[in-house]
Amino acid sequence: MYQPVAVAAGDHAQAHESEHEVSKFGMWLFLASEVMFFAAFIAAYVVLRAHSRGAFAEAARELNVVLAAVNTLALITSSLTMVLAVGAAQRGDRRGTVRGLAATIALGCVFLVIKYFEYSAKFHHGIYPSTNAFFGCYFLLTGFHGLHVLAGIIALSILLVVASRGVFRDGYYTPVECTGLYWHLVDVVWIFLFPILYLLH
Amino acid sequence: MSNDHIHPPPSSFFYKYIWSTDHKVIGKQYLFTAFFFLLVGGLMAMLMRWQLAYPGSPVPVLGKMLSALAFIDDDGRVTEEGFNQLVTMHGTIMIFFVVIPILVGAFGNFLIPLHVGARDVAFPVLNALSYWLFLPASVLIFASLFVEGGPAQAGWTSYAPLADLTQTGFSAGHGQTLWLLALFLVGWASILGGFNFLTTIIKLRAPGLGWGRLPLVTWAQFITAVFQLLATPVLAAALCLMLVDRLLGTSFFIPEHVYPGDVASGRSGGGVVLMWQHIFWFYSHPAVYILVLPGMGIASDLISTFARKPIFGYKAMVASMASIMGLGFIVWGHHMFVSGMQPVMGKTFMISTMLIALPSGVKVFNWLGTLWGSSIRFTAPMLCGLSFLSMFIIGGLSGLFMAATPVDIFIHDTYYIVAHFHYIVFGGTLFAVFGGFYFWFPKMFGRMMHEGLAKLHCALTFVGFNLAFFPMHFLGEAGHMRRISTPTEYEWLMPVQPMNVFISHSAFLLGAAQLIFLFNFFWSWVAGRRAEPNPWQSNTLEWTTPSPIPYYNFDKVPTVHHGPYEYSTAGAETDWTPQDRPDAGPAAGPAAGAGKGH
Amino acid sequence: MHCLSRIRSGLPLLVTLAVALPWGAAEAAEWGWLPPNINSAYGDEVDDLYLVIMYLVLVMFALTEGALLVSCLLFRRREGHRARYSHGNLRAELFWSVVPAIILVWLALVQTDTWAKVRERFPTGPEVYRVQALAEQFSWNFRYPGTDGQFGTADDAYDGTLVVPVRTPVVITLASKDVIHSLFLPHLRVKQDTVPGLRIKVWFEAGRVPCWDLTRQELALLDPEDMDAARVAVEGFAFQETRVVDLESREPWDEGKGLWKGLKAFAYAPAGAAARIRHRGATADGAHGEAQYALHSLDVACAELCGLGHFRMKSRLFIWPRDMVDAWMAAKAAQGADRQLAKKWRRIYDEGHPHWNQD
Ligand code: HEA
Ligand code: HEA
Ligand code: CUA
Ligand SMILES: [Cu+2]
Repeated sequence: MYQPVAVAAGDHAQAHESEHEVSKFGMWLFLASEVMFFAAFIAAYVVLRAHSRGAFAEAARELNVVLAAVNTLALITSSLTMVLAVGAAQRGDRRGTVRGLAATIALGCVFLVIKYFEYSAKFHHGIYPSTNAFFGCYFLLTGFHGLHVLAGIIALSILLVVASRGVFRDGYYTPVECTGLYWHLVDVVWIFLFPILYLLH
Repeated sequence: MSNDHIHPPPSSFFYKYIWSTDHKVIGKQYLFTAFFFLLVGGLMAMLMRWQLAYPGSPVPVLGKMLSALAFIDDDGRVTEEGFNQLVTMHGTIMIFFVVIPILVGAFGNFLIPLHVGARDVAFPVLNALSYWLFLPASVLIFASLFVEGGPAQAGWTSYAPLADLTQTGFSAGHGQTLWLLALFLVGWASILGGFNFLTTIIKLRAPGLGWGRLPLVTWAQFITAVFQLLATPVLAAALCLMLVDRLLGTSFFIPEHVYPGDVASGRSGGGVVLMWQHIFWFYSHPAVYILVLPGMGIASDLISTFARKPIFGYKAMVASMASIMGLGFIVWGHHMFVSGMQPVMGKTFMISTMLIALPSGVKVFNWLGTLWGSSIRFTAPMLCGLSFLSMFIIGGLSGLFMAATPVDIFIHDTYYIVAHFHYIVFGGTLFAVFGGFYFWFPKMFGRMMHEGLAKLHCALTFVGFNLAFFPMHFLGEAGHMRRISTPTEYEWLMPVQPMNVFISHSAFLLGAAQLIFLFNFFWSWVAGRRAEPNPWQSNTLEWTTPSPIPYYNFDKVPTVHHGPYEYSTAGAETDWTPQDRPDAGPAAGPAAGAGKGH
Repeated sequence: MHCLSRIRSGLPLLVTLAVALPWGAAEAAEWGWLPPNINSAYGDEVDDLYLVIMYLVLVMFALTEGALLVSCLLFRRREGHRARYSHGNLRAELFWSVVPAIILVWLALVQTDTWAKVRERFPTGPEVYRVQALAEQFSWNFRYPGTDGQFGTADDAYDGTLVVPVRTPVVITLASKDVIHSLFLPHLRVKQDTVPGLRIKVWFEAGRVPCWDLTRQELALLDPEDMDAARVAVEGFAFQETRVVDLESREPWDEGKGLWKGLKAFAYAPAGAAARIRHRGATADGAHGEAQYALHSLDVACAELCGLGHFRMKSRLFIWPRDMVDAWMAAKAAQGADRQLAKKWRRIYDEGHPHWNQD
């Protein structure tokens, strides 16, 4: 997406270096707005919870903590494999990059599959977003988070194809690192969602 | 960077004008779309003004022509429902599809890379994507005028549960849903623009272009971009909450015990009504500063250039913009003084709101300081710049009445508020837009606009605007409520009805004056005098390029030697000193932040 | 088109400031800046604050716009003259930051007490007159405690109009059945949103009794002690809208010049009361005497966009001497409420669980 031609100063080598820097910087800014997006949802959750504490605690008991814990584990591990992928890309290690990306994708899929089972169990028991304020928050927060995981998986899959062609070498690994940053954010958001939705009774 | 690094400009029509990644073309795309909506929104205002002056009588000429639209009946009258739709769509369109796109989408895109001496923004493809999110949003909002049940009608603020609960008999149609979707898209378009601009300004400045040498327009865009980046996602979240409320039956903003039409709402309840207002204003109050900061930036450039004098207190100007932003995040509650928010919070919001007048005052005084002892050229852009200044003062000062909680109780939701914000968004911002447009038109289109017509437009707009909007303060003091289609329903409003008539006639004059602008624009585009590179003898980097600007802006990346406002420097040959001219000797301007590590 | 280029720069500014603003001010002064204020509890305080800010703002306005105008006149470009090169003046900048800062903080502090009085310190005690309001699309409902002073009992009085005694602190509790509305009593400087899920209080005290001056055809606000003539027992409060001047039949804009003196006339009054007073005092030519007044009422409006009928969501406010109110209340309480109506109230007030209840 970034066109090196827009770099205003510097010789060839510098341009290349600041391309990396510029993209990464842009990614950080983008993540800042993602943080605000989720922060607004979480704020809404806090306000609603403050208004009906008992009902929230009760509804939260319906959730499956074990499945969610497995999911938490999956995401944390996937952050790790992502770090490995970025490191490999940085070294120009094609096989390492591909392996790291594939593992991350796989773990992301595990997360989504488990989420799918959680959702369908809820629907099966007649629990929908409209059931009460807690489940409204639950489906909204996990739903948007799930969409972000899905988007991440798609981005990672594209990277996987690109990486397998050996594009990431000679110190060029910007897309891998930027996608990595995004993936970590998705992970961090979950780290917040897990306790407030599943553990707080 | 050597020139062989530059890609050749695209040659196919599609890549040149449609999917263009050139910031100048994207800026123009935003500009044209927004001008179209200015006509639409302005026309809506005309229809509203007709109804308010002559309630229930057919709109002459236009009425019959527009009777296919939801808000006009077959006889050409504005319907009761239609009036609400007009108010809502007028406000929404003017803010989200006119002013923000012009200031940020058009001026921001066009000027930022030029002012930092870059060949494009940091992420040109995302920049194009931003416009291509904005366009479908425009289509959605425009299409909502034609859907069954008409467009949204719950006000541009779309308060829950009115806009939220489909059984209120008011927002059952698709209009409100389309409104939410359109704003969601516009929001993400803004966010993409925001982080792109920030990256560009932070990372792509030309050698020598320290923070202290950025033109104030670009500073304003920088600060606005921070707003957009951090506040817009919050609006997006609020829109999502209302969307799921409407589409999936959740109750984020719907409490228990709500019985629209005496029937239970059928919702689980548990929601909090005022939460919508808090989230909405957390975004929309900063958003009103998005509506004015870039205007302030433009006015600063115009005033300094045509006063031939450096801007007074450059650092204070930047600091005050930054503090307007900072404070802007903690004053949202002043829209909610009578909303049922806890009274104690009213006090804190009152104090923070009062304080925000301070940086605004500093800006006003510094502009006046710039004018004092200057040598003013009264060109059309300068007239607009001065109009901005005088109108902003009026709009800002009226804000103080509303910031005072006990006084706001009476004037809240009256025409006093309507007067206040039109003084800032029209009297302020749109004048800055007109001025900026007259000023940069040669750079955008390679020709000069007709100066005489421009002055006439400015004068008529100024007079028409004041005659239309000043009396609204008196309406407000009389307690004339906003958003009522038929003021003659109320006894205590009877005495002020003639003022409504007067206001409407002035508004028609104001509207007609815009036709001059429209004519001048197209006429000058085709037949205007060809512009030389620097027709106004201005300093900033865009004036060092040919008019119109070539595809990659600068064939050699400029090196910056001065601040942007070196006018009338002692010892200099001319009364201006372009930023890239190395020979200015000792008076190299405020050395503040000269140079930067790259 | 050449001559157009010569338009004098300061012209538009001057024309507007010279013509529009004084015109507007004159027009406004003719009927008073604000609607008559009969809130004797804190109304004057609020209006005074308004005026304080007005004067402050006018000074600031004159200073800044004046400086702008003077600059435009003094510093227009002249041959062979250059602008003074200057990047600013720290002292000046400090001056115009600190002075407004002091003014603004002062301004914020002086009103905190008024705000507290209006919104936080409610009157208490047996003499307080309590009313409950229930807003719905698109009408106002009011509930009165009846003769026993208790809400939720069989002798509650229900009505669509707001009836309150003069010179008595009135506390109204607000709730909404469907969407947000806003109770607006312009002559009492009261405005408060009603929010589903919340129960919010407002209070005021009306100092004078609105009457209709039958000779001059305009609103008159009488001190209760001056109007003994009106203290007649009124039976059968048949609330009729008596439109003294029928607006529908007249095109407002035909009136032409100035303000609509004659058109201000809606008279809403209990038919009995109006007739009685007119009868007692009217001389043959109807020219003088206290009997020229009829009891009148004031507008109650909804100030928050609440749906299609928002602009028609209105009611009337009656301010009467206490004994009249008591008589009316007794009569109303005896009527009771129909089932439909009682259910409405029960669902919101007696069964609802508001998030925030000021009571
Ligand atoms: C660009 C848009 C813009 C800007 C810049 C502002 C600026 C300000 N606004 Fe405004 N406002 C709106 C757009 C804007 N507003 C809109 C759209 C609404 C209505 C929304 C809706 O409900 O639909 C609104 C509503 C609104 C309200 C809510 C009213 C209500 O609904 O009841 C309030 C209340 O405090 C308020 C206050 C202020 C204040 C104090 C400022 C200050 O920033 C102004 C500061 C400037 C000055 C004060 C002038 C210059 C200063 C001096 C000359 C210095 C010396 C002065 C003194 C010492 C007194 N505004
Ligand atoms: C940037 C924002 C902006 C701008 C520029 C304007 C411009 C105008 N506004 Fe707007 N207005 C809002 C933002 C804006 N408004 C908002 C946010 C609201 C609140 C909405 C709500 O309550 O939800 C509002 C509400 C509002 C009301 C209050 C309605 C009510 O509550 O009852 C009124 C009433 O007079 C009004 C009038 C006008 C007029 C006459 C113009 C004029 O200045 C327009 C002039 C421009 C043109 C006319 C365009 C040019 C058109 C042509 C060239 C076509 C031909 C012209 C003719 C046929 C004469 N506006
Ligand atoms: Cu109820 Cu407006
Ligand atoms: Cu605000």
